[in-house]
Amino acid sequence: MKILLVDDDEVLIERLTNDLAAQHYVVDTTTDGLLGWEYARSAPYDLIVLDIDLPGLDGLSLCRRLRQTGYAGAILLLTGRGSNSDKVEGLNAGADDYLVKPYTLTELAARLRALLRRPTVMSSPTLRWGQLRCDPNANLVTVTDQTVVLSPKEYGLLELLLRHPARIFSNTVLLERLWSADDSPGEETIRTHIKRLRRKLKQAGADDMIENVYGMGYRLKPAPPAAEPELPQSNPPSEQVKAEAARAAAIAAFERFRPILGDRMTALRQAAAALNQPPLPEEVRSMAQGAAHKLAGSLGLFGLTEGSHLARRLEDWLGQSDVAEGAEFIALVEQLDAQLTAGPREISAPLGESRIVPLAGPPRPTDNQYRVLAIDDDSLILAQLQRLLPPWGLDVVTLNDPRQTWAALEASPPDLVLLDLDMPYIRGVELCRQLRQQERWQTLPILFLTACREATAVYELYQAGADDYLPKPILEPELVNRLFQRLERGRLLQTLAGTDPLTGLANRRKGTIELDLLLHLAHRYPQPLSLVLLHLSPDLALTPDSAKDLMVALAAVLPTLTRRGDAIARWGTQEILIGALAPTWSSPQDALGPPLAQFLADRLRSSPGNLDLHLGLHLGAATFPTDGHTLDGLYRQATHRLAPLG
Amino acid sequence: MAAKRILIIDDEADVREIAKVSLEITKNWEVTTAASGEEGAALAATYRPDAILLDVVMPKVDGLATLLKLGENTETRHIPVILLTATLRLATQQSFVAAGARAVLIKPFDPGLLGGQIEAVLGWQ
Repeated sequence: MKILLVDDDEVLIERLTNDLAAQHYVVDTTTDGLLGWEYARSAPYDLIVLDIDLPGLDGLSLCRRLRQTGYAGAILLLTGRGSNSDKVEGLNAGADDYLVKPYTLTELAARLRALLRRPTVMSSPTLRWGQLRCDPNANLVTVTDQTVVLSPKEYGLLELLLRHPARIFSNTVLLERLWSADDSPGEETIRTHIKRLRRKLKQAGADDMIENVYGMGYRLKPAPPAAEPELPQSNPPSEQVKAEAARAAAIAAFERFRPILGDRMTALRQAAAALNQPPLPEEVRSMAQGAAHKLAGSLGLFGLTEGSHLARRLEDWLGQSDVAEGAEFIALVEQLDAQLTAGPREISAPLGESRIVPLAGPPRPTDNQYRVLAIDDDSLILAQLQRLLPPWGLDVVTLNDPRQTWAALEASPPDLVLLDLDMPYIRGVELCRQLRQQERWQTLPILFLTACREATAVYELYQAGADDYLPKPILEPELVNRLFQRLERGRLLQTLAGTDPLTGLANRRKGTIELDLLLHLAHRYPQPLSLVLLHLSPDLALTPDSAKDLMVALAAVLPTLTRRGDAIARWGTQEILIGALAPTWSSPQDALGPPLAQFLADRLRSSPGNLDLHLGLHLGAATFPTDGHTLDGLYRQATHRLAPLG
Repeated sequence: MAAKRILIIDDEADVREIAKVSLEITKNWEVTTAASGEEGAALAATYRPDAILLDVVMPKVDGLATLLKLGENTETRHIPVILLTATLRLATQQSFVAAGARAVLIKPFDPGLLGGQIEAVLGWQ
């Protein structure tokens, strides 16, 4: 079971985490609402605990957003407020439970356990595989009634595989599902856990359950055929018995609805009577048509299928433009009247034809499902993708005509686009460029499929805004690997709109999110993070307008000095903050100083006046983890180190 | 599978009642009903059903108007909607699709099969 705690009370978080960890729960924590949102989107949680008063994004909004995006696990809200309207608001926002501060740790832990046990969360009947039984409510695994003792991780692995019998789980997905963000072991650890689990299962007699799909991951093997038919346990009513009970209940309800049905019949009889003295008044016609429509829709519910057919014919008849021959209508009304008077017979067969028609609208994404739009004029490639990707939980929308790209994007916005390089009508590179010109698709991951590996062609792809390319012919492990790399990165870095209107850089709000994410990544995949602060000195004799111009020019030049994926944000009127994960430079002063000095010198030459801009632009840097662990701490450190360029 | 929550919006009492009883008996789902589009749209936001069965032909706020209303509200726009109608015409089908309906259920339905049909069309199986 995986839990996410979002609370800005660090003391509480620590105590609760220890308590929950002792009970074998996997716990992730964060103190910021927006980060909580990112966590919840990047890994599946069984329960999320939210404080209402949170920095970044308040708990209620976060709760609402989680539910809107289909989060189906449990949510517990914590708050200092205790009025009933707050409670209602919380529950309306989709929370399952509510706890008012102050509360004891014991109380909170008890509430969490209760939520995790809830059938809505667990929805857990016993999982079966051959002679193996896994009871998720008791975390109990038995093989032919012998208990198998498993560690929490082994149990987690087994339950996950049992719940998704056809799916292949890669190491990445297993890590995401079963380990917390702070505790991400290598693939070796997963192998060890799988090995131990296999050994224990084998000893218990459940041999050969887990399959190693070479280069891809693990999957549950199909269960062996049962040796003897299972005895029905408590003999629950079969589908057929329930269906018959529902039909019988409908028929039994008929008498209660006879007056309503009778009123509708009356409207038809009035129309029949009026037809004896044509023309039929419009009011009577339209009343009768409405009544026929309703009878057509309802009589069959009570087993009067023939009555529904008659009513439909009457409705059609009344809808004709020239109501001429009344004799047929009158005859139909009499037949229908007779049907209604006789009422339903006792029957248990299906009542007529019952149809439900799926509408081919844009499919809605389900939990943890990514949608990939694949554009290629080669239908063999498209068919291959259709076959390869769905087992990995990836929905594929295929398109063999690139001219339909925009319509396809609108109809079902994808999480990633796979593009062929050589296509008729529009070249892949050109299409990519067009996509990148629209703000909406700027962060959409784009991968190219190409048989061509020439350096110039590859360079052109990246220039056009592609994120990556895959050589044809497609190899499944490589394809899946690269797709997930991009998708996960895309989700993490996809942030709310937040552009600084002057410079076009991220504003402080969006910048905070991006930097926090980089910091999170730096924590998770132990990597240094370099934070660089650029500051326009206030004592510089610049008019407000020329200071603004300088900011704009600086914003334009910085992306050329940094890498894609680095965060650049306007932090204040005179500040720009840059975050670089695993930077290639050893010192930002050395890396950024000279080109920035050059940039300033160029500006100085082209502008009148005699200002020493070198002294006006200051740079300070700090690095995670040596200089601090939080964004605030690193920023303060960088401020202390501000010094003139050069 | 956890018990689903269903909201039925239909101005005809008999259809409402039979659908409710049918889903309760065959699937043990929790069912709430509304007799008009306005009432239904308001109820959907607070009741938060897993799916909505929505009648197309209703006085005042009809099915399509209700569907659009549900789509405008961020609390309800993600809830799958199945339209109930005694007639399905191609032209109207297009506007249902555009408004985001997932399926059309043709009345009369078989009370014994309704729940299974909903499961199948919404992928709940």
